[in-house]
Amino acid sequence: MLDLNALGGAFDLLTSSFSPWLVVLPGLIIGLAAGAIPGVSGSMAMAVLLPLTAYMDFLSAMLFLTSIFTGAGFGCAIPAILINIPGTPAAVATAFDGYPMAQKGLHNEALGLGLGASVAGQLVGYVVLLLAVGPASYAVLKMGPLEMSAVAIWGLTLIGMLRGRHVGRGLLAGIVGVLIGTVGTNAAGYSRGTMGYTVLLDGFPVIPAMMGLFVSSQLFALIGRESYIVKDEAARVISVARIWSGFRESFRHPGILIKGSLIGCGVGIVPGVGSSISNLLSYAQTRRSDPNPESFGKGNPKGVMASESANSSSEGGSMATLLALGIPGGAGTAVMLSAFAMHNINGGPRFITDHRDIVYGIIIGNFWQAVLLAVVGIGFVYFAAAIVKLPVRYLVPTVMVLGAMGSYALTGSSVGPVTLFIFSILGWLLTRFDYSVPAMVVGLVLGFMLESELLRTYQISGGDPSYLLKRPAGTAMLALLVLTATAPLLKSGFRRYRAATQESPG
Amino acid sequence: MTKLTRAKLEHLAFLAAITACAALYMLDAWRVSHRVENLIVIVPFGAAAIVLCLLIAARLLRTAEDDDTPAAAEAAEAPGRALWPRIMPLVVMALIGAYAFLLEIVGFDIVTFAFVALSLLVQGDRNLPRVLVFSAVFTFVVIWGSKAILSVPIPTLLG
Repeated sequence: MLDLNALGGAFDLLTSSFSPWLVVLPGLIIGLAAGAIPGVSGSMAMAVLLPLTAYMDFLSAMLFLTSIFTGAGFGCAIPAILINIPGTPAAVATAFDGYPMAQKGLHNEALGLGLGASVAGQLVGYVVLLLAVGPASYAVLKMGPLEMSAVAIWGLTLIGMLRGRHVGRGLLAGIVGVLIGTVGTNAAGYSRGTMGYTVLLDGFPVIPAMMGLFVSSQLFALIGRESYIVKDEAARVISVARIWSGFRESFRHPGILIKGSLIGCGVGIVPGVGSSISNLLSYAQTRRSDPNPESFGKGNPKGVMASESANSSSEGGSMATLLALGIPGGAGTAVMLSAFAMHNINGGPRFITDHRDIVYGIIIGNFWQAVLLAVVGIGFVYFAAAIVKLPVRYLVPTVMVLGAMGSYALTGSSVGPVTLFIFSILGWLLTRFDYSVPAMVVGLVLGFMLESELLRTYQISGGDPSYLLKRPAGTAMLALLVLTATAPLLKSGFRRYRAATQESPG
Repeated sequence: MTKLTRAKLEHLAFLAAITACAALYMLDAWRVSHRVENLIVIVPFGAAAIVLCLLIAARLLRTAEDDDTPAAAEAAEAPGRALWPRIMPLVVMALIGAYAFLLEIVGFDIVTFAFVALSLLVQGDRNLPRVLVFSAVFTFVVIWGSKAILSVPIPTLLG
């Protein structure tokens, strides 16, 4: 499993020059800043700075890019916790309990918890990668379109049901999200729902749409009602000691961290889904196994830990797919693949066999990143937490402008800002009638992928249902999905039946 | 059937809009092609959306369930609140719409400055010098940062 010769070679590579160590700190800071600004994602920062890596050796280039990836992985938790606006789908579940904690004046502790869980997730993710990069790639190769579709539908059902109250509304929001995600040209070449606008041939730009949904659902509820996110002035204090106490607190729950990290690794290897689903799965699992599940969504620290440990460890999973197969799981790893090309290197099984020392070098470098993230993160969070001192009337235009700028940068035209505006209205309506905004976001993110995978399944199977029997893993996943979806109904039906039989003993 | 409150009527209208959009989308997809490759997601998900809308609407009409939505809470407290705070979110939303549509036409600098300043004034900031200085400094930092750091070509009026 572990090649000790290659491990020794990795240490040689890392100690023969300072450059791999020097790029990590700026990379982390850039990543934290990019993740913390809604609309400016880590992958965008990686893409912008990609040309710089041409002047670095391959190991330094990879460490620079992965450190931006790592920094942004935690950075997006900052707006999720402080203003309930996750910059990426990976931090959706972080906001569920992080924001209620911030509203209670526990923003310092919530940020510390998120940071601690991210560091733990990053460490576990890369330990798993170190030990299982080979088997992981084998598992990915075994996953076909049916299994990918099952994972996507599972994630969607899960988030629809996660809120507990109004399950129907949660599912409707997720389904509408999927429908919106399929607008445009599909993988078979059919263009639908474009209303004659050529810009919609590629579908709605996902990140501006996501930001619009979250921004409006949160900020519009505060306008004209609250002066600050945290109502109590005394609770708006920013304290390194309290951030540190939150950080330490996260390590008092190793079970949650390990479980979240393993879920993150496992789901992270699935291309295209990864961190978007892992945080939700981990959150749902932690909530389900907790003796007090009703406290989730109201500021339970375990919710923040579960989500952050999973989204950070999914980085290790996605790196396994990239290194072992040369398949990027998302935008960030796609940029890394471009760095591979810039250095004339092809990812895949051959790369792992021939350059295992470099692979181990990247992994060891990421352990160093995790340690450094703990230090840099606390300092960064201290300044970022000042958001709670900003009056709501200042927060609204600044967040909207940053979101509009980020949207413009992504689309290169006013299509991005206009999408942000349109989805702001939709998000406002969803919140107004108590529909789940996160469910719609997950549907939107997965819509195109779900359609492409179902299409491939149909093409491979030729429409023959007996194909399911040839894919036992996929069939098991679908069965599990049906079980997850129907369990609450069965449980309540059984409870009603038992109550009825107890009432009428004769 | 329970009494139809204003909040419930708004909610029913929202569900009707979703149903209409889902039906129109399915119809549009059907017109493009009847093949399974085109309809594999749109038809089942569209149909599921319509069924869920009908179920939620039926439940709304049967029970008093909607009383805990933010829309219902707002309607309940409306008589005791002044008009301006109630319509403030809508005014800010209109400003955001104008901002999004005018960015490219007028230029990011002028529109961003105007949007930030107007948003602050609409939300009750009466300290005009502070509003103008904050809007100007914030606009400069954002435009400069986007151009210099992110290398995004942004159309501006003042250069």
